[in-house]
Amino acid sequence: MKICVIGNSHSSCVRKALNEFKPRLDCTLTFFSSSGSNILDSSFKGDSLIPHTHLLRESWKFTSGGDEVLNFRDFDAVWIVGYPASFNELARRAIALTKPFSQQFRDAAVIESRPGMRHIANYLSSLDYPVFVTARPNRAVSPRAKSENLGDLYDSYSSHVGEIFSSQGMTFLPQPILTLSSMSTTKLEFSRNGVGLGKEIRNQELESKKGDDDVTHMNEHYGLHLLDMLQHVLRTESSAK
Amino acid sequence: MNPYENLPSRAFWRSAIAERSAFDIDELWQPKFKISTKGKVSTFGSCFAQHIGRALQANGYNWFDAEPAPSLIEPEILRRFNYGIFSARTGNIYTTTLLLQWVEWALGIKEPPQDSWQKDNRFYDPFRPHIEPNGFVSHEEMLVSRQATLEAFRRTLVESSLFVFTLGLTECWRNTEQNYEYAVCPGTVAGEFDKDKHTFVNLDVKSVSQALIKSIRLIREVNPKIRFLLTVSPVPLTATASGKHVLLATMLSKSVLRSAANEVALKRRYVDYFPSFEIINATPFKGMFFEPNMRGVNPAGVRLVMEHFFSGQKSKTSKGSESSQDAVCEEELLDAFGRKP
Repeated sequence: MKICVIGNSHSSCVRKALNEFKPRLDCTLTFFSSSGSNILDSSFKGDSLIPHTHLLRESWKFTSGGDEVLNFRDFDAVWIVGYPASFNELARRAIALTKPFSQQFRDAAVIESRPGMRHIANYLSSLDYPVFVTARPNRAVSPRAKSENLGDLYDSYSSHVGEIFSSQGMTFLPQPILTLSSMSTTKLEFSRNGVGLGKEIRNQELESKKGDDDVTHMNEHYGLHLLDMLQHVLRTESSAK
Repeated sequence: MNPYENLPSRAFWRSAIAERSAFDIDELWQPKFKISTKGKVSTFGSCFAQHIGRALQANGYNWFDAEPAPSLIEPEILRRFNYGIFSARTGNIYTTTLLLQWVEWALGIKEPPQDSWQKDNRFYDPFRPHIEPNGFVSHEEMLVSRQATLEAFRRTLVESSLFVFTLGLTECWRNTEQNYEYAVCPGTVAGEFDKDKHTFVNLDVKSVSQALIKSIRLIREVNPKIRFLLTVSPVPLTATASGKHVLLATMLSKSVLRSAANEVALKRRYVDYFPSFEIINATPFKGMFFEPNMRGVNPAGVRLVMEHFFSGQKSKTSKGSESSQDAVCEEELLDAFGRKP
C-alpha cells in the first residue's frame, strides 16, 4: 500500500523513526511536509493538491524526494499528521459540545480544529480511499503542571473523537496511550531531542529545534509509536476485509 | 430675532456639510444617555447590527454574549455557526414584527410553532434558517437548539442595560393559517412556498412602530431600567416582492423604518436613535461607503459609523462640546435669515 503523508513539523518524528529504526511496514510512506500552516498556500485541482508558494513547493519537493505536486492517484491512502489540534483538545471539544450544540457544529469544531485541517478536511472526506488522521501530540510538560488526569477516559475520548472523524469517512488514530503520562501530557522522554522542520527552505531537513525544552515536537521514539499504531490499523482493516 | 438665529452651526447645511470634508462632519448624534461600559449591551436586528456588537466589544463595552460557544473553538467556525454575531443566535431579525414575535416567545407570552423546513434530509428553523450552514440533523435537534436560543434571548431582555436594535426591512412573509412571521420567504432557503397560506406583507409606519412599541413595553415589564438604541440598516434590499423596482422599494422601506424609529424614539427618554443609515446613505458621502455592488457596506463605512458612535458617546461625558464655528450665511434662505454676517 502506498500512503502519502500530508504533515507539518509534527510529521518529522515519523520520518526520523523511519530513518533510525527502519521498521517493517505493510506500506510505503511518501512525505509532503511543510512547517506550520504553509499548506494553506495550496489548492485542490482534480486529483491533485497544488502548492502556490515557492516555500511550500520546495518543502514538498525536499520531503517527498522530488514531487512538487501531490497527485492523489499515485497513492492508495492518505495519512494526515499534525494538522488537527492535540488529542486532549479534540477530546475536550467532543465532550463539551453536546446538547444544545448541534452535531454539525461539534463535528466542525473537532475536525476543523486548526486552519490547516480546515483547508483540507472537505476534500479528504470526499476521497474514496482510506484517510488516516493523527493529531499533534499533547504537550510534554512537567508533571507538576496542572493538567487533567486522562486515566480511564482514554478509551472514551478516543471513541468520541474517532466517531466524529469516522462520520466524515476518516479514521482517527489517537495519541498512543504508551506516550501519555497519567496526567495526559506526553511523557517527557518523548520530547527529548524532539524534531521539527526549519522555517527556511534551506533548513527543511529534520532538525532538533530546542532540544529538551521543546515540549511541542516529539522525537523518533514517539514517531515509532505512531508507526506502530498505523501498522496496527492497517492490519486490522486488512483482516476485516 | 427668529428661531434660526441662535442655532448651532450643525443646524445649517453650509457650515455643517458644504464647507467640510465628509470626514469632518461631526455632531451627527447627540446621545440622550451615556452608555455604561459596565452594563450589558445586547445587539440584535438586521445584519448591520453585528458591526455594532463587534465595535462595542473592541472598545471595551460589555457586549452581552448570552449564547456563547466554548472558548476553545476557532473564531472562523464560530462565525460560520453564527456564534457571537448577535447576543443570542436568533440570526437576523429584520422586522420589528419579527422582534415582537421573538420577545413574546422568549417571555412565554406565546408558544413558538414546532414547524421546521426540510431540504436534502436536513432540517431548517423557519425563524433562523441560516443559523446552521447545512441545517440540523433532525427536527428534534433543531427544536433543542431553538429553545437554547430562546432562553439566551430571554436573558438578554432581562439582564441588559441597553438593547440595540437595527431595523432592516418592512417586507416580510407571514403564515396566515397560524398567524406568525417567517424570517425569510418559505421556499428560498428551504421549505416549500404555499400561496394559500404564505402571505406577503409590506409593513407601514404604523405597523412598524406599533410592533416596536409593544416589544419595548414587554421588555420593560421584565427589565424596567433597560434602555434602547435604535438604528436603521443602511443596507439596501436584496430583492423585493412588492412589485416595485428594488430601488424604489428600498427607499420606501428605509423611509418607513426611519420614520417609525423617529416616532418611537422622540417620545421616550429611554429610547434613542443613532444615525448609521444617514452616515452611509446621505449625499455628502457620495455612496463611497458601499461595495461595488452598491449594497454591502465597506469597512471604511463601518469604521466611520462607529467613530461617530463613540465620539457621540464621548461628547456626552465632556461638557462644552458644541462647535463654536461661526457660519457666514449668504447662499440659502434659512442661512440668510438665521445668521447675521
